[in-house]
Amino acid sequence: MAEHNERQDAALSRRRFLQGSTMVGFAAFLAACTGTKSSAAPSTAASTAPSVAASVEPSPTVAATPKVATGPLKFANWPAYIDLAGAAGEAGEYKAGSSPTLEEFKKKYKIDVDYQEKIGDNATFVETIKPALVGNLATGWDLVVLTDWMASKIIKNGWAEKIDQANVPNCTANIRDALKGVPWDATNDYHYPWQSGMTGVGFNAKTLKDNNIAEPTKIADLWKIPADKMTFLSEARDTFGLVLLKLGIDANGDTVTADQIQQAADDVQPLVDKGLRFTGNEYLQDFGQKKVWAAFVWSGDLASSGGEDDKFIFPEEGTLIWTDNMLIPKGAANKYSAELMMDYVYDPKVAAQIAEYVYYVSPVKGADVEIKAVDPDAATNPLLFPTPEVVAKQHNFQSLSDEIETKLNDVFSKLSGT
Amino acid sequence: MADAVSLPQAKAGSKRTGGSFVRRLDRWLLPVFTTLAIIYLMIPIMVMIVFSFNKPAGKFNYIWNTFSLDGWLHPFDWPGLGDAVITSLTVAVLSTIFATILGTMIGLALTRYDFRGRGAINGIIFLPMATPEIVMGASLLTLFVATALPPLAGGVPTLYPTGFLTILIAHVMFNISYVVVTVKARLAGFDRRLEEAAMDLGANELTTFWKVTFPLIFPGIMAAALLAFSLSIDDFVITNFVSGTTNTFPIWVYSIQRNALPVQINVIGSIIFLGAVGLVALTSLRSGRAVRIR
Amino acid sequence: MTAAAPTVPSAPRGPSLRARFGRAVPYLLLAPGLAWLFLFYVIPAVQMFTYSISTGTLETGFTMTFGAEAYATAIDRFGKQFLNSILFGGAATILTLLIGFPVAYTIAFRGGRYKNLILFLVIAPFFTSFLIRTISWKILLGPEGPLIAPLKHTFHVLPGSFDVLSTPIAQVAGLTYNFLPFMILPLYVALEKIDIRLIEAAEDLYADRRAAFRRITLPLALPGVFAGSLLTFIPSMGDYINAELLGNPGTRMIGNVIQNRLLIQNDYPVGSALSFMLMAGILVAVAVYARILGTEQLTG
Repeated sequence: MAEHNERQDAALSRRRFLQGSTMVGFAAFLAACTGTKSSAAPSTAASTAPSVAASVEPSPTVAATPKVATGPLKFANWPAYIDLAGAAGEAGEYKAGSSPTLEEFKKKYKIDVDYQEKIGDNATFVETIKPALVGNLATGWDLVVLTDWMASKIIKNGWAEKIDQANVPNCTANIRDALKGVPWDATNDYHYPWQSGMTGVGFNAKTLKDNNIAEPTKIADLWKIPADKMTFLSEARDTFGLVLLKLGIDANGDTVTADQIQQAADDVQPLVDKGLRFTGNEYLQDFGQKKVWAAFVWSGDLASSGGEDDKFIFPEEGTLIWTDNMLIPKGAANKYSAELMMDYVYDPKVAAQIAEYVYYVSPVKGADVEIKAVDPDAATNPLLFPTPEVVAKQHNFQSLSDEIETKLNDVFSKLSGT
Repeated sequence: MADAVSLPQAKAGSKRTGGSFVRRLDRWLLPVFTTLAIIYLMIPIMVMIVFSFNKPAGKFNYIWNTFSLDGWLHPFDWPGLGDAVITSLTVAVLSTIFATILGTMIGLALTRYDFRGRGAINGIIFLPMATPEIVMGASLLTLFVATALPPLAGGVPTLYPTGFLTILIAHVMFNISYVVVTVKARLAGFDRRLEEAAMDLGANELTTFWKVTFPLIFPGIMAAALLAFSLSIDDFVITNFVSGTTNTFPIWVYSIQRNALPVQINVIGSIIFLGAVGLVALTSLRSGRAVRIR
Repeated sequence: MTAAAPTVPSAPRGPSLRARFGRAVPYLLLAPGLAWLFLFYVIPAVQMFTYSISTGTLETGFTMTFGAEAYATAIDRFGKQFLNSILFGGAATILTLLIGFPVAYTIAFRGGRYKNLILFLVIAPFFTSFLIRTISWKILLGPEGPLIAPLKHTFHVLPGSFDVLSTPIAQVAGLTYNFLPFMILPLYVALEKIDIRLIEAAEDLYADRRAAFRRITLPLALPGVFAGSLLTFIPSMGDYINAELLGNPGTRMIGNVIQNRLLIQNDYPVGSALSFMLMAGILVAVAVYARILGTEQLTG
């Protein structure tokens, strides 16, 4: 008798569970269907536009974009790359978790911004939009942020929309001179920098001292440190750029030869044999655990988040600078709004707001002046505003010819075991 | 007169004599081992929960700094993070339901019926598990894009732009295999005579299934559903390719590493973990004398 | 009125579902799931296969050459990584079996009322992000971390330069940890089904515990062992992230190579070739394994 009731109870609860979940599932399915339908609209509009052959020459004149801000602006960026209303900070003025920059933009132009922190890696992100770009469909994004080398590829393939310079007066006026005239888009027809970063050398002063190793001042000094206590970067360009500098070769994408790449690979191979690893910024954890004593590092993280004894230096041979750039992918539905956003973040006040939070190098002239009002220390921080001496020795090893890039990827994959 | 067959003495140490040291030893050996194993499984979760109360010195939550409730007070302190979490949970629940249903059906068909092509079908079931995720992701994306391009455009329902629906499709796809394999482990050697007995007693196919078969295979279905859920809720590679402008929690977690590792990851991870465990604990406690699924 | 004799319920009216749809039932059951897999796995996979016999890139388009150069390159250059995958995947599978079987056994036979809860505790940690789990392990097992540092400095059991991270051991440990529930759950569902009276009967027939286990429990648990091994070995062969976070350049697996080929080198032909060789190898291994275990008949 009791068993019978038990079975009934089980059956009832099973039935209820299934009923409930079916209803939930059906409701969600409806929501999903309506969700995707509405987002399908902009893409059909874009793809009915006259479709041009995939490899497209940049059109001689910019199509006149209607000056109507449409939204929502679909903005893909790297995570932690925009200012946030922190917990304690702007109490009450902004919802916690929102970005003051975005909120003010929304208020000013009355359009919504769909900001997605989806870019973790250039290659991976672009691989997810490549089939659409190749097939001449809208990617769904209006504004994306990609590092130099990937930005140059996108532009070369004709996958970026030409910017109407009349809509971005702040950009044209305030872009830092050092960032102007890049070989792959000298007139900023297709891109404007978002933030720059630097690659240099980091080390833990205490551990080195405990092991009687002098603090490195040059890249070459790292070769004296036990290889299994070091990491280089898993970004091939960053690692090889520094190694080339160490070998006295100009880390310049236009002049470097395949033989020099090979030379650099041969220089690193002995270290790999002795235990050198290639990481992304997992090295931060390694530094914290004293697993790594010195490494190639990016300016934005060790300096802001390393331990007490972790130091970042600008090596004597020079540093690398790289820039993450804003681009409008081809077929963007809200191109004008994207241009408005580009223009907005080149206002020195806004740029200072972002730089102070993000801790990278701002591309905007005058941000160093504005930032004094927000955070006086930041204005003199060489990591945010590098001194002229540092700038003089900065190299940009991002944009490479196809042949060099193939060679680089090939030797680097062999070094890293793939 | 034949001698009465003498029964051999019960072996020492068998159940009959009971109470030997060896027996007592392995009475608690297994539970201790299992407890240690469960603790082992929980260790990183404990660390994760502990570090959710950290206030990192910089942007990266790798090293303990000071105790703080900041993360817990502002768990969704990033633009779009709340939506990403909801999307992940919704996709996980839905894909688990669909994959479990589809997979169980396949499992039933494969183990109980004889038909041609079983070998090939088994192969098709194993292959998605064997395929690297990046290959599945890239090829699915190409398929979805192709539905919006000639020659397929207009002829088939377009699955481009990618978004929630395509994420769901992909998750159901890779979950089916895991469900089939798990359910088959339960269905193996299933005694068909139980079903035959039920039908002899007048039940039709459907009633037999619900009242006899389903309760007996339910642990397999439940286990399969749990596996599918855990696969779906942390899927990064495939989801990354087919999510378009939709974000999910794993994508956010794996993408953020270059610039930061915020406390929110730990907090949300802890919420999901504690929420799930709490839910199950509640339901199993509420049914009083726990219904033994047997 | 005579008392009605208790009537046996009459057989359902009309031809039963079984008679009507009998032959079609398996196909009806298979159809939805297989259709889904066909549309969203087989078709994309075939497309990937065509890349492996083509030349070109996504940007410039592919031209089918039907040549096997991609496969030749794959075998030639990446033999070591294939070997790593087999070794590490195999080691992880064996370890998960050794750890998982006793756990599944205990939950199934000794779990009592809390079976489901304990089982849930086994899988619940895996609802959280893999990245966080790995970072947490690295925090614990760091060379100066809470576990290793005392062993080094207080008890002097380990040399000062000892570091378990970035070694094959760490990688296998990571794989083992992350696939443990995939072994435990199928083992549990198979073990839980075993009628304990069978074991009791065996013991009544003078089998000692080991014999009872060997001849009753283990054979009945084989479908679970089979399923668990599949769910562990197959995915771990294609795994890339354990190698990336816990390994070093010498321990890369085939998953890392495929990742590199597709994303960095944009070399879809060789990437696809590698994938298909991996898939073919796994299918063969599974068929052999099923034959060895003799579970083919049981599990179809």
